[in-house]
Amino acid sequence: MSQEQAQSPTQSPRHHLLSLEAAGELLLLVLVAAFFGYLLYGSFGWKLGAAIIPWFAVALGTPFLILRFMAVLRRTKNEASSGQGLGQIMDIGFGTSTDGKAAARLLRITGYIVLLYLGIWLFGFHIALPIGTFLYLYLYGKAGLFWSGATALMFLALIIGVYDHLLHARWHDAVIPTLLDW
Amino acid sequence: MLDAAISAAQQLFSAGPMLGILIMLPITLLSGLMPGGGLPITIVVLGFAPYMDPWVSITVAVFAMAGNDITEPMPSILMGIPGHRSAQATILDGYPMAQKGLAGIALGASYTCTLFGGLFGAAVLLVSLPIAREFMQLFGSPEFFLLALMGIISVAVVSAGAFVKGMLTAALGLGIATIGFSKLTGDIRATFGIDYLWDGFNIGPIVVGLFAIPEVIDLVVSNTSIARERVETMVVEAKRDVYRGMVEAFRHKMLLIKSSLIGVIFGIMPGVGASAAHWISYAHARETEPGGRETFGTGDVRGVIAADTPNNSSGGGDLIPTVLFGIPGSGGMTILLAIMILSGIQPGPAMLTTHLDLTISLVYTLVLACTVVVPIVLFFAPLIVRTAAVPPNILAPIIIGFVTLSAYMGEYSIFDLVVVLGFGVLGVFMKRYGWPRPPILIATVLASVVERYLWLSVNTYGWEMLIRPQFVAIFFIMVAIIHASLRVQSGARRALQKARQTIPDLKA
Repeated sequence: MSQEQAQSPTQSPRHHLLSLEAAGELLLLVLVAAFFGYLLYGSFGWKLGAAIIPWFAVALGTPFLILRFMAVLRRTKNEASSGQGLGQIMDIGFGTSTDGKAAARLLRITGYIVLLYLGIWLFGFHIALPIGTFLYLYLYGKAGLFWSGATALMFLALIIGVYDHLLHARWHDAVIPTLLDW
Repeated sequence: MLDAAISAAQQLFSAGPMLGILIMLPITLLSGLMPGGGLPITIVVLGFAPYMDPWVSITVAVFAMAGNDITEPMPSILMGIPGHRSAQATILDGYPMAQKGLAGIALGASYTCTLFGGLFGAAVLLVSLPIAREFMQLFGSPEFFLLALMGIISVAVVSAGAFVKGMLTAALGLGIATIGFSKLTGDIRATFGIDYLWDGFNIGPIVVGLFAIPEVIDLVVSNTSIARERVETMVVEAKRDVYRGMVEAFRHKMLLIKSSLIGVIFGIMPGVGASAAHWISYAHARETEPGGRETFGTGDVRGVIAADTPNNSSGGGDLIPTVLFGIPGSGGMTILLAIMILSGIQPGPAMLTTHLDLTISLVYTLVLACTVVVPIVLFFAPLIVRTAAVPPNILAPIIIGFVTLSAYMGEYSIFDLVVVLGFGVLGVFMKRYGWPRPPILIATVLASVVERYLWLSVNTYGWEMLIRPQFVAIFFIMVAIIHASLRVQSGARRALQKARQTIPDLKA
């Protein structure tokens, strides 16, 4: 049996969590590298005046990108050998071992933002923003029916009163009202 | 200059800016109290900027920032919560004073410091205008190109003490800024085949995504809320002995002046701002005040004075490079820069010629913020303190609602919300991994300036631009400033490390 196989079962999740922590930053670095590559590839077809700043950006960023890659890989190696970084999964600054509720809060708020934007695309600002705000305040903010409703109405009044009538804002064609011909 | 000063007063005290300030006043007071609340509230102004008269949008934004600085120390003193970075050092002596039942004295001293520091910063800004005006006349397109470029690099170099990450994000920002139609050559650059990107990214959704969304997520995840019973105790403490605290502040006149100066000087340095200045001021006072080494950190009112005064005085210093050169000294100033551009005002030399009255009005706004907000805070402190009990789960959807509308209102495009989500994810990752976010925004804002002046300089001067005396002088001055800024940052980090031994929760 190899040394790795001989490790206790409790140790394997440590390495999984460590790799997740580093993977987040490595993914970010790969995306930045891909963007620089795309910028450089595209710039060969542009006139000099248009290409000079992209070239400068790539020339400035590439050495630091490589340095950061090396730093992350080195840190990962050191942490793996010393067993540090336990419980620091790729999150917003909390450890799984100390506050499990934080993960739920993170999921809730990011989910709310995505669903709100999806709602705005489907139903429009006039419907999605007041209803989304009301539901979050009532369900998670525990603000009570009155205050949740008042805040939702405040947003509706802002959209109609300020944006519609005062600023004459143009709204996008929301999917559902367009389909139903509202 | 006198004409511009009179015109500035007339414009500022007209109906539009006054109404804007009046609407913003209660929001400013409350957002300063809430950890992470200040920046997203300023971002809300972004959404209205394209519709507003620049006089309204810019003065309201400056008022909001200055007003925030005044209420920021309250949670540090009363609750010991290090919410805002620029109010962290206040905890070291402010909170021990509150624990001894001297919160009122600490608050009184804090209000006086912010009032004095704010007025000092405004005076320095006013004095610097005619001097800067003379200098500006010596500059041509090569110097403006260099100033913009060095502005991006200097903020990246000193950002949060993360040199490699700062430079990388500045390069990323420059790259992002080049996406879309080139105004110089007509080329369509790096649009990924998406028609929406032909005009490039709008600044509003980038600001909301990079700054507001990660802050709101952090607000909810960290779940910093205060028990209602504790708020009642704080209300009683906030009222007691406040005037004694004000007298205490004036008893240490030299410390007030020294701390104000530190705030102004470090406020001018790109990327340093109040968050580092207040640590330097605190560390300096601890070493130079009689008996400071023994009493600082145990509830010494001089610690509160040294930590709070630079917060507002740095505001005046911070405005100098932002408005005159388009080089923002901090994250907040980057937002102000974006608001100026959305309002149709290009920061730079025109701020001392065409828009001189607007620039002078910023001085008046700083003075107004201090002289209006401080008395209000003084009289309504108990009421303001009660709002600290508002839980993040109530604040979050309201802030999200406002900033979403702000992001959409720039171009009325639903794709702007997709951009918010994209940059929001990027912002969360950057915050998590300690990648400084201001350089990316500064690079995005200044890239067009760099590109335009570089093109002009190359066509007008060719390689000779590199040997122009003004060009060489600016280059060496900027290198010296970056070097000094790096030293300041490391000094501030040392002070923070020392403070961490007392309060481990302090953020880097």
